Amino acid sequence: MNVPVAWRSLTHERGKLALSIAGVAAALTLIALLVGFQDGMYASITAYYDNVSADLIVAQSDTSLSDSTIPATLHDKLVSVSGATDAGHAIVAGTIFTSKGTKTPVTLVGYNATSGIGGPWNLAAGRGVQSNSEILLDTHLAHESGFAIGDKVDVQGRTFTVVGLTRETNSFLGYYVFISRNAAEALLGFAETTSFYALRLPAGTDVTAVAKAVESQVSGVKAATPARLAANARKSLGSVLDSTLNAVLVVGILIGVAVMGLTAYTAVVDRMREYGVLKAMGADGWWLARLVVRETVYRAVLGFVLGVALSYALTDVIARLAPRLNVLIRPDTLISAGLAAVVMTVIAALLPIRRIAAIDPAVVFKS
Amino acid sequence: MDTILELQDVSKIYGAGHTAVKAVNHAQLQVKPGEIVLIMGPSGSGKTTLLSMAGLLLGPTQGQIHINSKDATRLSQRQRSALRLDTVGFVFQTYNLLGALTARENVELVMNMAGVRGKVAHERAIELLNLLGLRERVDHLPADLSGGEKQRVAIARAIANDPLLILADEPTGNLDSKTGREVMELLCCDLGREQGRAIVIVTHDHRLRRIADRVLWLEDGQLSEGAARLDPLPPDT
Amino acid sequence: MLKVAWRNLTHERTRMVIGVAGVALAVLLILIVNGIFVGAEESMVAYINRQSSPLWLMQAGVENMHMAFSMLPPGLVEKVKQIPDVDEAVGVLYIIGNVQVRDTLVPSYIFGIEPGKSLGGPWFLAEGTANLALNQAILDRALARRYRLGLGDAINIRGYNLTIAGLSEGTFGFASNIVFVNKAAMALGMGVSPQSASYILVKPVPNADVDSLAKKLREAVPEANLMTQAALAASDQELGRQMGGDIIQVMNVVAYLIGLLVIGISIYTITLERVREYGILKAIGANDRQLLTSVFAQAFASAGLGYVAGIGLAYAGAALMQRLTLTLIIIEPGAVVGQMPVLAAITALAALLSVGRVLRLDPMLVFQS
Repeated sequence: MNVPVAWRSLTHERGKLALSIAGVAAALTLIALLVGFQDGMYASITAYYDNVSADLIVAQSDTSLSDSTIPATLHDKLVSVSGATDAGHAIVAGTIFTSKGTKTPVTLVGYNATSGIGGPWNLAAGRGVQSNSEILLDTHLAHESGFAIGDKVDVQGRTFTVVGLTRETNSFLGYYVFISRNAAEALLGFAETTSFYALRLPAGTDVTAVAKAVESQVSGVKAATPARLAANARKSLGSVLDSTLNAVLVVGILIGVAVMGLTAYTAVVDRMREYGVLKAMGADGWWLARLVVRETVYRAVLGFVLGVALSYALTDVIARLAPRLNVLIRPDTLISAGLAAVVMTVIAALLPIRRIAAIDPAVVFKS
Repeated sequence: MDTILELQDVSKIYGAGHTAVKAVNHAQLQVKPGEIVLIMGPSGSGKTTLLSMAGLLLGPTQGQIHINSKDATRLSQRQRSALRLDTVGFVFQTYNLLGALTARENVELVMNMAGVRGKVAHERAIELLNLLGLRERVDHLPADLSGGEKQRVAIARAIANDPLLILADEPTGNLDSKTGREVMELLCCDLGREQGRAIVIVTHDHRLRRIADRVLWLEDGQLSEGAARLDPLPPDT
Repeated sequence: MLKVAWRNLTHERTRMVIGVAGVALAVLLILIVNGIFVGAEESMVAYINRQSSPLWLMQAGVENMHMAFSMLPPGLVEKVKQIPDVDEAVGVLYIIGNVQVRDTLVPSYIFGIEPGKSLGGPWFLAEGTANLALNQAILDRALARRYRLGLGDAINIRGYNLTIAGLSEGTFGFASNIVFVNKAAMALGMGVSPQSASYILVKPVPNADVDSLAKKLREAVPEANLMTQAALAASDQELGRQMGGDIIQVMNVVAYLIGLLVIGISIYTITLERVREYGILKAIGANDRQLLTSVFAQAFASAGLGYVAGIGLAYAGAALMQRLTLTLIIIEPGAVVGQMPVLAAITALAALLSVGRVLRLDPMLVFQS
């Protein structure tokens, strides 16, 4: 066992260690949060598709459900063509929600309360609709409009009673409200039309083949997986969101990485005198480089741990202060950021060490 | 007897043209095993430069440096480090111990560098520190040691790899006279001369002349025999 | 003491550069992200703010453009034109829809404009014409560039192919892409009369009293909602934020806070490293006040340098980013100056924290290794 120089040197000066770890942690947190905002935004945009538990969605197009109009009589045909074990349809349409004289555009979903297809997947309070005069509101919409369970709301001239509040149903695109499918048909004047069918297929089915079959045998429809619809929605929204969001991300990442490098560089420069002494003792360039790398990696790892803790803590704070904002920190974001931290700091730490060969011996002789 | 350290016509010039400074000018030096050589001279005379070159920390502009009869002048960085590790021990005025390591660890570290690990290094470090009267202080950090104790740890470190040559820069500079004397006796007599090591000491401390075999004078880069330049020593105090 | 501080600071070049760099990077982060935020907010209400009409009419109950649907009956534009003090009244049709650009559906605000009118159309036309034929459209130049389209290429709205006849600027931003089409064509597609309008833009005669005109308009057209340009913009901006535009605002806040943290760390690190030198000063007799002056002078000098460097980098960086990413970044002098008090506060705080160490210094420190 060798003397653990790297670890001992690192932990000897607690104050300096804290500072350099803080630097790395701050940079990591910045990156994690910025990416988390973007991921969270897109997750909320595609939440409906991600949570409509179906293998295939059949609609007029594969790009939007609210603009889609197809016959509501396709059930049997779709089941026979696709072999679906379960099939149901739901209505999705944009409409105006009135409260206190203000009109808010929302996405109205008329779903089958019995099967639940197309309906909410995360209830914050209350229950699902059981009658045609009941409605579920997104939690934030309710909060902002001043509605609670039991209140009456007006949608396009009809009155509904709020019986539940939903989660994950708000995004950049607007809020979702849910009523029974029958109520939606009456409200929107949908006689025998609907927006989409959701099909659940037996395990092991070739979904692509089934989709093709449906499209060829049922006229006027497109069949796509929820994942595909989500991807299309993401691409579509991305066209107007990405350049700005990415700009922030790029700036944040570049600066985050630079700060990490700076921190590592400083830490090494601080100890040049010690490295000079070690060189005088007989340590060669490689030995010193290994020492520096070890110290730097320890520092980066500690910074990473703190950064992760800080990121999650801040996510919590943000959830409390701005509940409408969705921050999604994915483990692979953290891992990528962590690896970048290690690589960046090691490179930055090795830069001054290259100078060690040229170090002025007078350094170790002076007081 | 072979010389351990030999400087043959060694010069060190900093800068170029009319701003050139000759820190060391055609120095000739030979140090034999067991010999204690003092280098004295005014500040800024090039003593640090000379010592740096002797310890292979600095390359000469001109001339050759032999350590243990090997020409060290043209060695690579790596080879010089290796040679330093095995053959040279440094003792500094400001001790230069690693503050994060205990006395024992400071000594062990240089042994680790030389490939000696684990129990062997551990026990030898303790042995050396005992020899220097630091039995009770082996697990103390430098911050908890007195100046004299720190210098003794530094000496233990300097001899840990059993070097043939010890280079000391103002070793008593930060010590009171009593401690200084004790430390030097240890270094020069017990651990130096008796073990056949060569010791070169750069110092202002005239009292060290008592223990030296030879005293050299370095002024304006010129190295010469010191006897002529020095006042006679006062009676032993 | 100030001289000592300055010499201290510049003596160890590397350390100074590192500390200043830390501050500069933080300032750069804060200014650019804020610039993106301001740019995003601007682009959200660009259409409203850029029209030369201080008064806007819309369907009763409507108070936005963003995510709204407004329709006024035909004949209203003519009625408004008759009102004294009205110099110009133009009706535009407006709908939110997807525009097919190559293989991507771009959510857009689609405006139906009348050829030859001074209001309602693009406020900056980089190429082509604003007098649109029935099958023509104006697309934002940045968007067109991104999808490698130019004049003469086609886009598709609701199944209708339109030829790009003009390229506008400033019409593409965060969550907002504006496309202009011929009003009559749009009316046809929407199934409404070409004389109807979603919004009526009203321009008063020069020197007219806008408030009294507003009053007259409300009396003349009580069935519509009248809003001032400023009020409409504010309302729309608020809605935009609610819909998620505040994501940029939060990113802004996060970047800001972390920027401040980095500044604090940089300054603290610089002053911390000077502990030994301060020990010497204390040993030779400097009193606490002199030491503090030295610490603060050094901290503020570093911060100041970093600040200036950061500003320079921010402007340069913003210019570069705008060329590369087509994002609107607005770094306002106000934002720059506004950072100074906060920067000063953080610097003072960081210096204060390190001061604790300096004051508690044992002068004997200097005699130890």
